[in-house]
Amino acid sequence: MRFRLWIVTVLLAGCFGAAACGKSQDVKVAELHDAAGSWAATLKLVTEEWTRDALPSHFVQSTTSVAMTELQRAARRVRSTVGAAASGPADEVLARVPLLNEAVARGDQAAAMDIVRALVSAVPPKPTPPVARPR
Amino acid sequence: MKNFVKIGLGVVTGIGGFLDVGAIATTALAGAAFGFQLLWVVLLGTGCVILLTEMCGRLAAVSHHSLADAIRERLGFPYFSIPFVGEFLVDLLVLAAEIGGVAVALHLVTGVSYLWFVPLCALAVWGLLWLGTFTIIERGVSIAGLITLCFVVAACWMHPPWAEVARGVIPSLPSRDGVRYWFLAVSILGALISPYLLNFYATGAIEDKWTVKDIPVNRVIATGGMSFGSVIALAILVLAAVVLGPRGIQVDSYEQAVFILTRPFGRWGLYLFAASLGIACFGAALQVSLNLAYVTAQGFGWNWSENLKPHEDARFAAVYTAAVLVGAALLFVGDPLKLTTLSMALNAVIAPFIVFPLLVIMNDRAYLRDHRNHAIGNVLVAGVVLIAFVVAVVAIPLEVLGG
Repeated sequence: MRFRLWIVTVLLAGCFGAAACGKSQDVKVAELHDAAGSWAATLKLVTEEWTRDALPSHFVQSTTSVAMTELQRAARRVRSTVGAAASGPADEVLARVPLLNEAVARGDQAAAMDIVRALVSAVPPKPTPPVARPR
Repeated sequence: MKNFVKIGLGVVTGIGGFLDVGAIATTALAGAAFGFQLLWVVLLGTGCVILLTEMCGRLAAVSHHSLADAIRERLGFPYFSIPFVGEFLVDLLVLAAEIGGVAVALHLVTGVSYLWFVPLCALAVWGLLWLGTFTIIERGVSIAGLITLCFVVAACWMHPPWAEVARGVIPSLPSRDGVRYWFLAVSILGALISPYLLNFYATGAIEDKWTVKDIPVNRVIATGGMSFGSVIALAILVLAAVVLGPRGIQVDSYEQAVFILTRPFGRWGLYLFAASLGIACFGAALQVSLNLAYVTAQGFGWNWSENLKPHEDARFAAVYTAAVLVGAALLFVGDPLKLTTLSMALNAVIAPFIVFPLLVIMNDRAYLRDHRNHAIGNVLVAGVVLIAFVVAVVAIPLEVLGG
């Protein structure tokens, strides 16, 4: 009985300890940068797919809306713990999303592609090669 | 001939049972983040689930007990109450994630917020449970679920580097971001070794009136159905690794996962993805709702069968009705994809409480007579129990740090 109690206590302590420590500030900032790069790449791909008529314009707009929501939430969290400067890449993406929405609403494919190309060069994503043992 | 039909339908049902919102989401996440590196986890999970479902089917065929029934009877109500409460709560989350998956599928096609579709989807799930029979639910939705084979076609179409894919089936340690790697590994295992699937499979065998004669059929269905389901899950991981990873896209929402089919199929890819997600999740939502009612009714000794009219097993019907309502309500407080990853990690936490008693029961002559586990089977299941325990211990810390 005492042994079981000991195991349960260790497990609970481990869980709560991990929860209490959470993630370090560096990790939070790195995650925000990765998320910003990922959303920049997403917006580029969704625009490419829209320009080749593989996706409807409502899909582009709902993707931009999700990107805004996710990045705003993540940026707010990082700003509150690390500081305003840390959310730079996310702010970069957030600033260009309304421009992309406007271009898509106008049906201006060239302008939309220019916006997302500039976005990806400003906030480069981190690619993962399709391999089994990345170096 | 009758057996061939039974096996064919069973395998198709197995595919439907295997592939749900958890399998789709976790494999897409894994492929996008780690390339082919986590393919081995899908294979490990498939091996585990084949072993476990085969045993659950055998238990039902020989003893006419479902897993919940046998745990309560063999180990007593106090022990049963631990996995029961755990499974009930986690299944509610899984149900929310599955209903969310159907609603998101409709959102992807229409552009209307998924929340508007949640009540509609919940009503459709409940309506089919209320009016349908077990056969309709088991086979109808599963046959429709064959549309998910489009992932396999797409994976071949994209010409992935097959040598790398083959290397991915060999276990390897993470080269970076170890916490996230192991979190995804645990989530995949949680998605594949779903406790609801085990009891649902055994109860399905009872609903289908399996006997000892069906043991060979059970073996083929468990192996074939889960293996085919696994091929689809592997295809999703490969597609995410080929389409999303190289572009640096992580899967933070279902919108990002759609590209794995629009790249090979263009506009049809969107509709195929939505149909696959919607049908797989709809089938799984039916199974999880039913399982919640089965586990409760079997635990408390109430009347239960999906083949009875609701007034003949009113408490059973009341449980799935309440479950669907709660599952739908949860979607108004949580994002479907996040609910999915959370519920898959929690699945992993409760798995050992269900898998360990199975090992005990499968060696009990009173239940299995001459069909008890052999030594090799016991060693393999002991391995599964060990994996389940390790995964359960690390799941919550990994959810906090890497989820």
